[in-house]
Amino acid sequence: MKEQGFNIPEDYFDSKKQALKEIMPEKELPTKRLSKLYPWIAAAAVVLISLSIIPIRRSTQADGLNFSDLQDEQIIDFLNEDPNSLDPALFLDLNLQDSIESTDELDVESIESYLNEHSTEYL
Amino acid sequence: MDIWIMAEPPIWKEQLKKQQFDRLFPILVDAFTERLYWHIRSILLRHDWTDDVLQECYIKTWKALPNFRGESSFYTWMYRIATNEALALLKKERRFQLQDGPLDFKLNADPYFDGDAALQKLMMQVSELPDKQQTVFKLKYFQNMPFKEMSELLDTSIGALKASYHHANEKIKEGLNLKDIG
Repeated sequence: MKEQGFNIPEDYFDSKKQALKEIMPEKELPTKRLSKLYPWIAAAAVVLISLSIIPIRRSTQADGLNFSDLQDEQIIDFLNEDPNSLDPALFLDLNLQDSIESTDELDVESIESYLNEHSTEYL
Repeated sequence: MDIWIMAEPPIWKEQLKKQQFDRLFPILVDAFTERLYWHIRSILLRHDWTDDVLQECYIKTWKALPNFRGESSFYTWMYRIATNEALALLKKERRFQLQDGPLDFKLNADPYFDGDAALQKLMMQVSELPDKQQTVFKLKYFQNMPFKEMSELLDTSIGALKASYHHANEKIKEGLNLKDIG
């Protein structure tokens, strides 16, 4: 190419090489040091994330859902939304067995008098 | 020995592996500066542009050394950086000159160009080609670079490069009213 008329300044390559070698101290290599730390940073991150997840999982597994955790208002609101969806006996301590047994002991008169007294409640 | 397949001393890759960049970099400067200069100059033609791009090429090489895995030769890797930088400068100059047409290399204003009128005329014709065709033509005309090497540098298939060269050749011959280009 030089023979075709493309020239260069005198001693260009000697001075240029010297100048190029001076790039090194001027331009630091930030990635060089950081890249050595990447595996350690990644390992530390994995350990920290694991440690933070394990207690959360344990606590959620141990603490099942109990009705005692619910407020009365929450239960009432739920039943008001759809009172037929669930058997109230599941929530309320009705002692059904006792009440079934006790109905056998009632005579017809007692039942009629009870209904007469409470008939207005169902209107 | 063919300059395109020059074997590189194995110690270079060892130094890279051991991250001895401070030792390796000056070796690369001594080994490649002349070749890279003429490679860049064959694309950019002007000395001042070539000087800037050569500097930028070595800055990029220094910064990228820690991330270079050594899968290709240093020569291929650095030639690729130099080629990309040279093509980027062509784009920048075209934007700077605010024109879509041929880039004016202003060879007359370059004190380090004293080519004859025929070469100037040829370069004027070449500058009217699209960037890709222009680059392929220059690499072939000035460096007689094999298409295989060019394919690695420009990340283009050999078939596409041959087609680009053929089109470039035809356009230049037509522009200069020539039968063939020497």
